[in-house]
Amino acid sequence: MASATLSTSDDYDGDYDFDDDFDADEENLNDSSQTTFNDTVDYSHRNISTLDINDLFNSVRNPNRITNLQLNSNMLLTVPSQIEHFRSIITLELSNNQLIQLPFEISLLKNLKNLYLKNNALDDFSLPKELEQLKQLEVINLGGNRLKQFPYQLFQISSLKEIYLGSNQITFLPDLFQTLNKVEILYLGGNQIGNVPDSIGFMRSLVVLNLSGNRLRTLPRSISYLNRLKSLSLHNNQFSALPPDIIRLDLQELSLRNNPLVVRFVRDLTYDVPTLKELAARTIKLHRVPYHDGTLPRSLVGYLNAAKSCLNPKCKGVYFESYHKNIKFVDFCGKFYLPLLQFLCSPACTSTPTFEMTSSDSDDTEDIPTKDMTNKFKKVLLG
Amino acid sequence: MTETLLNTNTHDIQSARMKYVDATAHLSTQPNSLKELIDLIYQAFSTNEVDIDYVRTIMTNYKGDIKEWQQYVKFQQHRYTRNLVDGGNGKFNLMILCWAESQGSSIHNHSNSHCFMKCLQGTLIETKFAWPHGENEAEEAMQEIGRSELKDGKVAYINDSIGLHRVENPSHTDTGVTLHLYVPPYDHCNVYDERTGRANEAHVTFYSRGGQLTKEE
Repeated sequence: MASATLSTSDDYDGDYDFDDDFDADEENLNDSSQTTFNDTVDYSHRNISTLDINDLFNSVRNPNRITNLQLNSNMLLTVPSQIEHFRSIITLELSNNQLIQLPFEISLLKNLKNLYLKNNALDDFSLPKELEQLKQLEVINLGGNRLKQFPYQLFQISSLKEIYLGSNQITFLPDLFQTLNKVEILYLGGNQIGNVPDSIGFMRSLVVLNLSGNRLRTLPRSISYLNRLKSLSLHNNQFSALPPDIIRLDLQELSLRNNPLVVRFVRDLTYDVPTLKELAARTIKLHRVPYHDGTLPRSLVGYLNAAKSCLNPKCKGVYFESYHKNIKFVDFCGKFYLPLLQFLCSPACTSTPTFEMTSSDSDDTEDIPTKDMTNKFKKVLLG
Repeated sequence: MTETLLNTNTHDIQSARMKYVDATAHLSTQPNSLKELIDLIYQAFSTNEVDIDYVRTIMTNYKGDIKEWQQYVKFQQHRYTRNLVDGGNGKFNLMILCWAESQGSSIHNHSNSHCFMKCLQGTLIETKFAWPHGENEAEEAMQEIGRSELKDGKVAYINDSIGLHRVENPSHTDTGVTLHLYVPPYDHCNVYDERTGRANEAHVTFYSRGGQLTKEE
């Protein structure tokens, strides 16, 4: 959830990794009057509404030497196309302006690694398609803008490590996250997202995932594949239960406040009576009746192969569409109870009635090794 | 308040004065620097009495130049950080808390200490809760008794008799920094589950002391 370790210089200085590329030759040492000796141009906090790049050029002796251009906290509506002349910039700070559009020339800044666009007026049409040509881009901050969609260009930039999209109006996440396998921080808090797609599970480098302040009710099971995930922010959503696989994550922080999490088991949720097709299919699977393409229509073979195993380890049953949702309380470190959603093939598969499962001595805790649980989730902010 | 002195022994006049004169009356109420604020706090607590109003006044009046407290500002991805500024010789703890986007605390008490909290940067939300009911097994959701916004140098005060609270940075784009004063200091408190009122003890640690990172877990 947290992007602050690489916050803008609005807050404090000296947080950037400059690639000082100036040679220690006489020419530079003689330019003692130049404030750009350290390769940074700071035009921030100047109330400027238009940027006269030529002016900027004249005051900067070597634009090609500049690696860090700070234009944040002004009133810029756009960036002039001549920005491309700052060929060496690695960091471009444009946060806290009034930007409504970025020129395609931004994509010509081949060395750009950090692009900060926080708190502007950018919408889905503001970012040039060519943005995906920034093949060195590692950090992009688009928080506090007017995006209604996850910018598609980002899926093409596989070098990305940190994506900040907090406080926008995003309602939908495309199922395309598998290309973002170097992303370590994904901040999506403060949007209107109703669903997280399966491909999120392919973001194998993810360490911090912030989904707070959205409209989420569930997480995909693939969340359990994120074995580097350390921080998961789910507060201020609509979670009533979580997938049991969340246990497998090695989290340091999990925030769950302000969710309608089930406090006490009320009653088993509605159970739809299985179809005849399902009952027949279950019997075939249970008794391992052989079948293949030659004996059954292909659609039925496909159906049988899609059987899901009952999560009750003592049950060998399978289910197809008809399943029984069961809220199981898991005891985290003997402290808080976390309701997890399990799919069981029939109500009979709950070995003990759930309302009895409130003590850590219940035999259902055999299902999940409690020692593992105490080691994981060291600091769980559940309150 | 008046008292008729029956004799004019100077010692008696002094002790009479001490009874009626505010122990902090001679102190400035306008700290012009962090160092001065700390000095005033030390002086204010030189006796064992805590003048809440005075402390609140100086905390509010301290304007805070970012350069003074920058060395204590350290953000972490996973949770907010507590950075000790001054250990107060055991009488108080002055610390800076750094809240990255959306970070918040659990609901907690203050172990019978006074807690002053000043916003130095950004906006924080403080949500107050009533104490959960009694020792019985009945679990019920905790009751919110107030919510306020803290920004622009505003100071909030809480102690256990007022209730419990949660502090959080509601912003998804901006960080928050707060200055906290605890009198006396504490290293354990209780954290509460909002849904059930259940409490657990928590050990509070510092991410840094005097600007240096600690190894506390």
